[in-house]
Amino acid sequence: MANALDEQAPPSLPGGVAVVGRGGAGGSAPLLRVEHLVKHYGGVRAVDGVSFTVAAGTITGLIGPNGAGKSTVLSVVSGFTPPTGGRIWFDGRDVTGLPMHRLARTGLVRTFQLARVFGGLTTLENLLVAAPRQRGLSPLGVLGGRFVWGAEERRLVERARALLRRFGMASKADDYARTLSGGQKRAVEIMRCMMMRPRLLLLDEPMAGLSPRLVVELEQILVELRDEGLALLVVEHELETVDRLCATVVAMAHGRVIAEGTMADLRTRREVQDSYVVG
Amino acid sequence: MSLLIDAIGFGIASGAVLALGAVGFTVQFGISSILNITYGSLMTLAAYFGLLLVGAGLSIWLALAVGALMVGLISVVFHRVLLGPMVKRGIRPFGLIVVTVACGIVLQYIVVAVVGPTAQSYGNVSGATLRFLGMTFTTAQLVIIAITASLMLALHLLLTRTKLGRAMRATSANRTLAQSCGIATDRISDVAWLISGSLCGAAGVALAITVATFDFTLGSVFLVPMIAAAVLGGVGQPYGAMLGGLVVGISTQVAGALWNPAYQDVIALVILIAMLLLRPRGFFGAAWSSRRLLA
Amino acid sequence: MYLGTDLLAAWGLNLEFGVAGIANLAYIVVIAAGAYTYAVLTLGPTSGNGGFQQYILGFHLPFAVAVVAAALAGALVGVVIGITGLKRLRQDYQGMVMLVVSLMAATVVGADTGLFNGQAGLSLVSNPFSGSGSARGDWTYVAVVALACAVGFLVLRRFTGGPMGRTLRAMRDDEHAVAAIGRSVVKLRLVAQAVGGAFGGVSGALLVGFIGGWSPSAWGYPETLALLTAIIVGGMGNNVGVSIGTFVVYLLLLQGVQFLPQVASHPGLTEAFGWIILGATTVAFVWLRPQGVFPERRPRFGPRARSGDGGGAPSGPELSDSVGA
Repeated sequence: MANALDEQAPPSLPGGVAVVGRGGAGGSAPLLRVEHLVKHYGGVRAVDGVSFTVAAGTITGLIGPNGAGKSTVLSVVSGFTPPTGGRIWFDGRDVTGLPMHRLARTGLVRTFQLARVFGGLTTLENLLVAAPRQRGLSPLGVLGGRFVWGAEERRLVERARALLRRFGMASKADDYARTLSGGQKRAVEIMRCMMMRPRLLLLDEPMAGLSPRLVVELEQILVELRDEGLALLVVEHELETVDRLCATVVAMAHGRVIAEGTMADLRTRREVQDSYVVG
Repeated sequence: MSLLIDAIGFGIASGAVLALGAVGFTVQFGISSILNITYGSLMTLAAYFGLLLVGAGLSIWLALAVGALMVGLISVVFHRVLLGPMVKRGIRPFGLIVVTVACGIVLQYIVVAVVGPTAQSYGNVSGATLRFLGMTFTTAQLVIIAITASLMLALHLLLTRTKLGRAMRATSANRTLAQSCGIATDRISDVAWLISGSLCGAAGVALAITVATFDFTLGSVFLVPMIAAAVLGGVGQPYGAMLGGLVVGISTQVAGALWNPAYQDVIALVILIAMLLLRPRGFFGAAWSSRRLLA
Repeated sequence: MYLGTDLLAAWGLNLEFGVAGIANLAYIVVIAAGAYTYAVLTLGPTSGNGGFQQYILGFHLPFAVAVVAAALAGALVGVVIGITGLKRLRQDYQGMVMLVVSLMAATVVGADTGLFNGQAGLSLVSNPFSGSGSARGDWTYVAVVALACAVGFLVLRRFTGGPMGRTLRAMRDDEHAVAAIGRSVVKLRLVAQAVGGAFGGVSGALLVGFIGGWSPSAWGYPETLALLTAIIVGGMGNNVGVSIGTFVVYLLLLQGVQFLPQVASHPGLTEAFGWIILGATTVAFVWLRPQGVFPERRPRFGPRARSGDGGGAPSGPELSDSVGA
């Protein structure tokens, strides 16, 4: 059980959000590359040969009618379920079939459609628990107590409080997460991801169920994160949001990619219109 | 060889009891998603009801019917008053197991408090022995096999031929959907608990008949092979449980005869564990919704 | 004395169930593993005591070594039990698998006389401190148990207090989300079960060293339920609460009923009452106060952000689902 819990540390990252290939939109290799991804559930082909890429420092949208396979793509890319076929590269490394917790350590982090928070932990703890490579999790840290991890813990608390202030939730720090509203839970989930210093954030319908005011606030924050160098892949139903946020949009229907381009581009495309009317 | 055939015969008889219990258990789980550990103690209770009724001069088979019905009613009340409201309050599955374990222990020791811990018996009710295809059966065993077969047939007809049965299956498959289709799921639950509770009671008395002497641990000991049978058939699937009961019954008896009688129960457990690890949805696998079982 | 061993066991199970959320209904098996390990390591060779009981190994090891071995055995068995629950089955299914494991272990040990003397169990396990007059030896033993409890409590605090405890509690709340933040659920579960198992192992060893014998009939799932009751009553995840819960359940309830008048015509009546009260208590608490008498403490960090938001949620973990999903 030694360093077990902390093995596979991600390459050391600078403070704040990891900065990868900022400004190098053209030319540099994509951060995430998905090729011919296939996922079957029983006899159902939920995802049927999907390929796309996500460049560093951009927001990519994944749209499509219900049942198009968007969420399945997200589940497979995040390692939540293994793919039936195809390959996934993250940061130049083949990560196909790696389980979710391993991928998370390499900087590929997801949220869930229904925000998952640790209800029995306070908001602040929800953030602390996500910090990578905590000394307090090693056997030495457990047995040594605060002598080993006290200083580190203070730094983490500082960082977590800074995030809470940024998201306007400082006053909720000591509330149990289960008492938060839906929008606050989603914010906690995103902050928790930020604690991990991710390089690619996969968001599964982040705007679902949020009030229009919160949607605007969250969009603002996502744009800021992108400007700090984070890449995002966003599954979203709300096309207005996609329009405002995403430089590139991948449209899916029936488990396949039917179009790729800017949102304005896609609106003119026949097959995209059809899938939304029919689908 | 004759040892083996005898073991198969005995396996069929004990498999019939197992099937009876396992079907009730599985119907309960299917309809309410509650793993009801109290089930074992309710079987014990039925056996003691049977004892009371036989003592009052009833025939053993009448006692079986009355005992079954009483436990059926108790099960409905148990679900209505305790388990149902707990589910509605959002108690987690494991909390519910703890509750059913606790209730099982309460019930078991109520029996001890009232009757005492000593072993009991219905007296000699097994009747003449008959030989059939090289296997030896007592009359009682044959009657139990017949009862099981007819109850299973009745259940089959109920589930497939009646409106009530269709509503039960619909509720079992997807409660919310059934509710929005206008099915009174609470009433359906009551009926399902009455039926499954009665099967539980019948199994309890039948078990007590086959084992000659029994005490307050009767049902809780029997719970394991019964759960094994239910899981083998895929929990929530009545037909699977019928088959599972026979498979577990025969394999444990045969293994006991060929190897070491002390290991008889271990076989049931090994089957159970293997199934849970390899095919948690039972041997009819895909037919059963995976949502129900997998987190 | 009994309180001490029960405390160790309750703490271990609380770590698994209350903190890490593992539905371990087979906890009694790790206690038994510890007890048997201790017994066969101290009893001496089979032939040495008239050969009326059979068992494996048969060493004359010193007390401390045997207790440590029992802890290791408990941890090992805990991990093995943990592996059976690893498949992503629903929580109630895991509970059932473990219940079955528990019954299976009792059956195997009972059936196989070569291993630990079968159904009859092992007896004549010597009390290491009874050499010099019984009463004084007993008190020495109590002191040793108290020492073990003190050490155990410190270790436990370390485990549940810091980042490790936090991560385990997070796993209790949502396993998928724990994986999503880069922690291996498998490893966390096994760590919790190993440590919890070690506590159980020591508990079993100290118990058998004191009462001198151990047999399969002494461990059924009611024993695990008694521990669970102690945890639920005291407050899941709260070590002090669980300690008080253990005190109440074991000393007041299960031992206390023995002081009720015996009814000659009904042997075992008082014991039955103990179990009935125990079961009813469990149900009542799950129903009325699932967070227990002493809920988990809410951790706070540094200066409070704002005084006055003390309200909020009343409690820590519960047996009920907090998130509707």
